[in-house]
Amino acid sequence: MTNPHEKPVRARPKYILLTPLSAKVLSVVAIGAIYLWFVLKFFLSGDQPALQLAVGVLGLVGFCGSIVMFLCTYGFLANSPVEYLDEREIQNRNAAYVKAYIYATVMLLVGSMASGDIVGWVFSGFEVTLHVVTNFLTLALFTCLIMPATILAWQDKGLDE
Amino acid sequence: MVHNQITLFRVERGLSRKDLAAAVGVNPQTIGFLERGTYNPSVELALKLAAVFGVPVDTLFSLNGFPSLATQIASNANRQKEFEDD
Repeated sequence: MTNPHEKPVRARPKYILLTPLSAKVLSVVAIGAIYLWFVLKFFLSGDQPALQLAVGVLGLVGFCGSIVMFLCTYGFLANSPVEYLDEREIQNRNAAYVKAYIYATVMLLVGSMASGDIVGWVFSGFEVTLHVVTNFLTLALFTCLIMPATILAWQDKGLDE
Repeated sequence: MVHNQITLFRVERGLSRKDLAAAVGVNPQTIGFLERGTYNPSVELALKLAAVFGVPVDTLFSLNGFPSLATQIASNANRQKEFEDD
């Protein structure tokens, strides 16, 4: 069968194949672990080595999960050049990036509010240290990195073939 | 909503989704979404699909839906009978 209009999608490079369900589970685990890591760090003190280890492991799970998510099917769809995608995938990706942009904006808004007086006024004694800022930036980096792929995974209706 | 008869034509021609996808330059999953009516193609893709099947675009796509296959067969049979009677 020949078609004069034929312009096949380019053969794709290798990436980690994940089903929609496994990608959804991975995204929840990765994002949940990073957020828990960020929040629990506020409650750590020097004399709790077991808790420190647990929070560290949680962070590690989040970061490793994010990397796998970034390298999986949906990470590929989110980050690959257009010649690897067809029109439906490009459309889905555009929609995912709009939502990811909203997430990043809200996150920056919350971050900028926390660095002001509002959070200090609500939670007396809260102080924004360099450590908190570093942790927040790490949280923002990893979650924003995988947010488009996460949204694509959650948007996927999981049709076969 | 845009209705289509892609499944009918594809099965009739003995093509798999993968074959059809390769012929029009999309991923096979996109053919699945098209057939289920959960994705409306661009004009370019609609024209490519029509070209593959060798039919006009409005034979493949419609805004008003298509009669069922049984209705179409019955209608054709009636037309044939009328033609033969004449």
